[in-house]
Amino acid sequence: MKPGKFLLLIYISLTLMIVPGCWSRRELNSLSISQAIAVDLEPDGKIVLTFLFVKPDSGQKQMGGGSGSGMSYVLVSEKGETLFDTQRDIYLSLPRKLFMGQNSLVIYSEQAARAGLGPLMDLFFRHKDFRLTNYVFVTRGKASDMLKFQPNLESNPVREIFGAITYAHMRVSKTIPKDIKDFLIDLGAPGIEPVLPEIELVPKLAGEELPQSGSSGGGGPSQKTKLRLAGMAVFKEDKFVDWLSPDETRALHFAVAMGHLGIEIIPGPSDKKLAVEIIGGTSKIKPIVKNGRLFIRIESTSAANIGETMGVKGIDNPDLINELNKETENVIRERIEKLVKKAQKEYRSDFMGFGSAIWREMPQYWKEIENEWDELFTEIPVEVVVKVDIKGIGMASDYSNER
Amino acid sequence: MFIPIWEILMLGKICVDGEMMKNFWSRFKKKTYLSFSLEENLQIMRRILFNCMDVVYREFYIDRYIRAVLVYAEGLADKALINSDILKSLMLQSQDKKLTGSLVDAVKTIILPFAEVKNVTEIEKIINSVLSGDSILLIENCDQALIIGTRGWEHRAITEPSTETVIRGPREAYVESLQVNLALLRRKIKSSELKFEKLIVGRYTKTDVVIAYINGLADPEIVKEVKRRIQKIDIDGILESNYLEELIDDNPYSIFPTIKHTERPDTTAGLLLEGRVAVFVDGTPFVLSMPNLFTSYMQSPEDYYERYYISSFIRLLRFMALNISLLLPAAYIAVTTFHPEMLPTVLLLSLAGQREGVPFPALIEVLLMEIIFEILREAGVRLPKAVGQTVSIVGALVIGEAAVSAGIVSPAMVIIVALTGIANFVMPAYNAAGAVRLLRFLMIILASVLGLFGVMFGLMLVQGHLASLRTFGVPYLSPIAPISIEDQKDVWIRGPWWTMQIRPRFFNNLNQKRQKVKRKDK
Amino acid sequence: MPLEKGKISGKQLTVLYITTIVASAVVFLPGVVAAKAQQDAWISSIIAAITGFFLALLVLRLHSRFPEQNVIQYSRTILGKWPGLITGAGFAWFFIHINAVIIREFGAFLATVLPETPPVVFMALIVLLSAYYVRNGLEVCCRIAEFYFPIFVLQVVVIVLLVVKEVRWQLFEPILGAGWGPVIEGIFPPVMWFGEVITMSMILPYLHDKSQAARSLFLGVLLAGILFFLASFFTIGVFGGDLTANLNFPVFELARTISIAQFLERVDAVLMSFWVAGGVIKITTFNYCAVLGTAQLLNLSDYKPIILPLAVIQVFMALTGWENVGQLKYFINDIIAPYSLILFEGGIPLMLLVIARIRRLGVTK
Repeated sequence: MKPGKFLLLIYISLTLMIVPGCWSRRELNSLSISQAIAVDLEPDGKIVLTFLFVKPDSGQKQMGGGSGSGMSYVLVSEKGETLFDTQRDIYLSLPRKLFMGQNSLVIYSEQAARAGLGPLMDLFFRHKDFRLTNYVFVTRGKASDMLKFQPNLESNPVREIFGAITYAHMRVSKTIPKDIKDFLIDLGAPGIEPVLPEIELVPKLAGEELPQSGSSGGGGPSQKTKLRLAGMAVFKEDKFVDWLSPDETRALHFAVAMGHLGIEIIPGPSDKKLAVEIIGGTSKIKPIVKNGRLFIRIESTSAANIGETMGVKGIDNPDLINELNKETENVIRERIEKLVKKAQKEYRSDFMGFGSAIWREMPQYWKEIENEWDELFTEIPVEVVVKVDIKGIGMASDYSNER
Repeated sequence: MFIPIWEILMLGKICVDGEMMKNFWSRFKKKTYLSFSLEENLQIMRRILFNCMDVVYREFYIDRYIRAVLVYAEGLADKALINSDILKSLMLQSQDKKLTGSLVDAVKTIILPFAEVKNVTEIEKIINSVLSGDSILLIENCDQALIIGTRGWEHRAITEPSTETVIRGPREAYVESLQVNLALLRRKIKSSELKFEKLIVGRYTKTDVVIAYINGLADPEIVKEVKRRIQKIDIDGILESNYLEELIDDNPYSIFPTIKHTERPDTTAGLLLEGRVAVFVDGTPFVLSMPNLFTSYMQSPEDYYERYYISSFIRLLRFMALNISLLLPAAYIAVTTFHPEMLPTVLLLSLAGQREGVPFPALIEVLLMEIIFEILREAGVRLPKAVGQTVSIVGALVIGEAAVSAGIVSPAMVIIVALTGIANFVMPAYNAAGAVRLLRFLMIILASVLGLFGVMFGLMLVQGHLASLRTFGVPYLSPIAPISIEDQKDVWIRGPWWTMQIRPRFFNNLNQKRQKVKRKDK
Repeated sequence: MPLEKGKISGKQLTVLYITTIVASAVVFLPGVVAAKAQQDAWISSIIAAITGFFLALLVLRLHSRFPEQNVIQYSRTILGKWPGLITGAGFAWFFIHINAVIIREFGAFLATVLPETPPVVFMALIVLLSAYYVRNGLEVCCRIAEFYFPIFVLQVVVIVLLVVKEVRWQLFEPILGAGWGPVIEGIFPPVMWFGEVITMSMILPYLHDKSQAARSLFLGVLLAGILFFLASFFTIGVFGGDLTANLNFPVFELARTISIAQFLERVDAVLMSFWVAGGVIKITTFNYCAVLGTAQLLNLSDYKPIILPLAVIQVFMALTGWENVGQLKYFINDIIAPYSLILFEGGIPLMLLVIARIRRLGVTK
């Protein structure tokens, strides 16, 4: 064969390839880019999907002048039997191709979570556009309502939530961000139940409301509420059980080492309060067998700084620091113990992963108890050991005008 | 059996040419040698050089009574030299000299103060010499003539290279004269091992072609192969070195050039020192060198004259530019129309916003802009310098800006196309950059059909082609594939000179050592 | 007259071997292994690599006995005319068949990434490309492998570096929780991959420097083992045993989790194209073995005329051999292992070696 003939063959195959058309092609301006999906379950078992689509900026703001007035996103809802079916039905009212590759949030309503998230998450796990790194939230009311608040700084609610989750986790630790992958891992692993963060809208405080410029009431997003990311939803298998308060979420943080961060308020001398900033640490859940009896020990070790003294004096005194260490340890320990009790007696859900700790440390033993673990869990004794070490006191020693 | 029509035509053309050649030669084949009669000789010459008004026959008498004719071509021969040295010596200063023995030898040895004087008897040689600018002295009753080296036509002065400019480094470039070019090279390499072998190619043009190599460094097999291929050429004329380049190419179907050309003597010298072979063609400032590897398109002579940090950085930059130039539009198409999930959300929204209202699909948009860019570029090259500037400004600024604000193309596309075009100029070799320019379109089409898979398919096709190329027996992609670890120092980066202790291994060098001692020993 | 005039270096052999093994192993294997061994999949991968050494040793022993012959030729030398011919035909069939599996695998993989395009397009293009490489000879195939090898290794390393911060060490525990049973069960699929070293028995005769054969092949097994170990280790570290087992293309999914500074995201499409490059090289290796073997069986003087027919046959087999992805997965996990491993990758070579020893055939030191 001459090289010319071979090139001809390649040429023919190229032509054959091009002639039938461009299969998977989609122009950018024919896409509707979804950023968030809210999943609601109606009482009759139908699924309601709400997509938040971002409208692309038309790029020529300087020229048009008046493009700031409209919203840069739209919400589209559809009702159906399954997620995929509902997602396809969106096309009945959508002029563009649905594109979920940039989706970053999935919000489930409490009803949906109660019915079990496994089936409702399958699409996101299977669809090739969807990323496993989508953040998942559960909300008390309707999930679609969560996308209907007026964003403060960002251009749409999703970016607002996305920004908030980073700092709510790192700086306050009253929530734990979870993505689809985390949820699926917890669901699949033995001896641990998943948790998901809660999202809610709360009324704005009086000071926050700005005077309204125009009468943009109508069907626009509510101006009176704001976003709040605090607390967690506890699951048993893939079914919702109950909520954790923000404080309990902090306890969970300290128990399972999601992050030792945030502010602790502790009672100081003479009825004054101090704020201690936890700056990091580790914790470990250890199953221990002593005298033939199994018990769990939660070891939590943190480092901290004094953040605010609120009038407490002598803060550079080592004795006082030692005392504060003790106080902080007490606060944290009490909180963890309370959470453990609640988990065992009230929720009966092993979301802290005691079982999986046993599985990891003594897999043979786990095999024996695996079947009756649900019962065993509620009975198992738990010992909480907390260690806090205050390292720094900030940029000043004492309050100057209280000398 | 199927014979293409053009081959029939070609065959016919060769027959016609052969016939013409036969007629041409037969006209004077009977009288190949000079006779004793000056008249007869002149008659033969006049017949052969019929209608050649630039040939001058100057009759005069040596020593007052020996009749002689000086034949030269006006403009090719140096007239001042003829006046002052030939005619003056022969006509005025020959009386007191004693002419003994053969007259021709006497003239040659006693009268003519010239370095280059040769006896000839064949008429063909005489004609060739006249047409090359030498002067011929025909003397009555002599069956020999003298060729006197008076070549002295006007040639361009040595200037700065126009296509391969450098910031640091020699600023001389080859000119159209072979002698000057050889001298330029000889001035760089003064070794007796630098060999020049002369061949003549072209039935009508009789172009001088010189093969240059360093004996002991160049692989004798390659030298022999180059010579064999050049000798096999039978063509009417060689006007530029590209004629030769395409005729002796290993891979005539390939889009990639496997022979390098340069107009810088220092580049040629560097290549010869690596053991390569250079081919000079008279009449063009572009000198060929072979074997040529793909990586040499990423090398500029300046790399070796700057500090190696800068050179290495710039070389990496060039590889980046190569990729941008080949793949950027294709990657843009593939990512935006097949894999939008790859883009950061904000960027995706901004790009999508720019595409709102653009009437064409991204493929058409890209092709449109690429072709407009190529037209502008070609216009910039062809137009006179002053106008060229205006055209590029009008083209780039006005058309680009207007197209964007009219909503015909998106601003991002203008950026992509402009970046691609500029990146293409970063490649030091124009001909390789041209190959990349063409392949870019293939990539764009593949990307618009199959996304990144298509781009990868195209790349693998091109790489398969590159890997199958050989240039004078050397794999084209060496030293990358087949890999040679030692040679990597001059591929992706330019290693410091003190690390280049051996010559590149990809040629079968006879002499590997470039340096004797390591720097740290000093 | 030799069918192949090219000569390759030891480095090229190493690179070709690694690319051939790792190209599809990294894409498909971690999930397959994790399905059996759960979070201990990485232990299985180490054992599999060690077993790979023995399979490579088998091929090398045969090679050192018959340095100028490939497996199809020496099976004839060892077993005599007709049995040898049948065995040789078996090997040619094996190469063609395995190649059809690989082609289908990559077709299925690409079809999930670009679902609207008919998979036959991908299969045809990939096979056409590999046919082009084979047509250009062994040297060109090796050069292509050499060219893509650094990219290929680099991408595995880059994925690993980018996901290191996502790794949760507890996911590896408990180590050997269910004992050695599942771990041993999990080594069979990867051993089959390592057993593809039998393709190298077709290529070893063209090695330029015969003394490098053992070194370069063992180096190849070592590096391939490391790459495969990295892939399974980090998929387990990020997804845990259970999720990895349920993902069809775990490393692909791993690449999807990469997110650096909100800029570098979803590099999976880029990886997909690199894997395609690796896949093409793998298919080229098998294609080359199939073409060379068939040409030798048919006593042809040139293998070029049968390249395209074989390519068409392979695509046809890939298209019609399995009705759906489920069947393909079942076939790979449960049928192909005994078929290829016991018969062609381990069994017959071992038998050949034993008979050669008994009959004292070939070069003996």
